[in-house]
Amino acid sequence: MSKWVPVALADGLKPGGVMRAVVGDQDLVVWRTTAGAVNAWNNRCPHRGMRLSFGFVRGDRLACLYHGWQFGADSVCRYIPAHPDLEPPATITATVYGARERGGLIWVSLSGEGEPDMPDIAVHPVRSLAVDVAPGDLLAALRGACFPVSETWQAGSGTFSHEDLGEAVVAIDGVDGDARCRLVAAVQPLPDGRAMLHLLVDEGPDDGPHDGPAAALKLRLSDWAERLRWFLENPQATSASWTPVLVEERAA
Amino acid sequence: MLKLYDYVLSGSAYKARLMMAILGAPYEAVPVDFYPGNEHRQPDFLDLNPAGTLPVLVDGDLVLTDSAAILTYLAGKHDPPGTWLPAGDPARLAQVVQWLAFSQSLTATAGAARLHDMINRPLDVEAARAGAHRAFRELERHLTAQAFDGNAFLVADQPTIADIACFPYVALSPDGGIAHDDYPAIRGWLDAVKRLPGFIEMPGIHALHEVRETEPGVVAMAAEAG
Ligand SMILES: N[C@@H](CCC(=O)N[C@@H](CS)C(=O)NCC(=O)O)C(=O)O
Ligand code: FES
Repeated sequence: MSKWVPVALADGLKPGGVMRAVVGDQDLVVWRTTAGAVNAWNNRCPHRGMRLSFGFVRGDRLACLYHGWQFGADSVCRYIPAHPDLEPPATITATVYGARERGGLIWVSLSGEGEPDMPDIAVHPVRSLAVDVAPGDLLAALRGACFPVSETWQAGSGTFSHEDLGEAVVAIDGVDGDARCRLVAAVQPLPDGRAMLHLLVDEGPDDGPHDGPAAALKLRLSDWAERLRWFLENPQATSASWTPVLVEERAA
Repeated sequence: MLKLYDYVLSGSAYKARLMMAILGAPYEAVPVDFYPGNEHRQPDFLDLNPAGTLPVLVDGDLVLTDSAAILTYLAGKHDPPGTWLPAGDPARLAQVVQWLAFSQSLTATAGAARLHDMINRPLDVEAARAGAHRAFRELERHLTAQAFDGNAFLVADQPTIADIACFPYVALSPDGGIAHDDYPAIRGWLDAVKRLPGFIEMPGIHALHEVRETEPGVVAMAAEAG
């Protein structure tokens, strides 16, 4: 497993935040220093094996919930509360894996070699949702997907083009009259054979600085993702006013 | 004085404890030996609550045997501003009642899976877990939409008894084999509830460390729990 895997929306892990991720069969803690740097380590505390994802961040250190050992961002143990005067031996370290932030996503690699397979484009986060289908099936559906480009979009209208931005990232460009919208969807394989969809949006040609997409746009895309998941998980289903996958592509 | 028939490991009784802690309502706790004693199914307890469930809240002649009713009463009586139970706003009130009803489906699924894993309660645990994931998806979708509007809680822009009713069995679900990994919006909401002033812990539900360090009460609780 030398690949980089998207494990979260960058926005979903706040400064000082801690989360768990599983890549391949490796259990990981992914955390951000209060200054914003992202780290991915083996999720086992070197002391007694407690999951570090239950821990908490203090500045640029991650503290284990169990006995409070603190590890610097370089993974070296810096502080042991039971022995406050001791300088811990530099051999006590957490196991470090590759972690990057790119294209609005947090990426992890077990080998740490190379870089995530995605251009570092500016996009806005929408949401992440787990889908009970194989990652390949989710990617295939995304490569033929259509979505509500604007509030007034009608099923069957508009044109859609699909571009792989990387092995696990698909961009979907929708144009409908004057409205255009670019979705960016990244697929994370989950350990049980399912997939996580990380959804981002680029509102179109840069019109200068703005606060990110309106709540109404995010909600429309979030509902779209729910609908896409429903169609993937219920392949026999027939009754819906519109399907989120282009009909030609579905038949092909 | 309010009297709460209580069991420390009960997520339903914790709803009442948490609400009283947040509202600062003093009460007397009467411990019931739920496990292994099965005291809640013995005649003395059944005289008080024929349903044989915890929690029970007694205030003078009033006996309440359902956690949603208990939360309704506590908020009505001990929250003068009336934000925890927005009785003056029909739409908000109705949404609160809707999530109170939803909380029962959490007890029946995630709560049941936890009883199975913790005290070997005989039941179809796979069905309970599947039901919990269905309920969590519904909750995740709602909380995602709320977050888009800048809202951290279930109803409108304030915490209500609906959050207190839904919180325990979601927070405790890993004890029943139901992980939170699939649900980022739920994780954010659990943290928001943990940041509420007056928040208390129970076994299996830990305060956020940032909160622990600023709230002496929580530190004391954690120390007692060992
Ligand atoms: N409707 C009740 C149900 C609460 C509930 O199920 N409580 C559990 C304890 S956490 C109980 O007493 N179960 C009885 C039993 O399992 O024997 C409420 O929400 O107050
Ligand atoms: S197990 Fe982590 S500090 Fe002891």
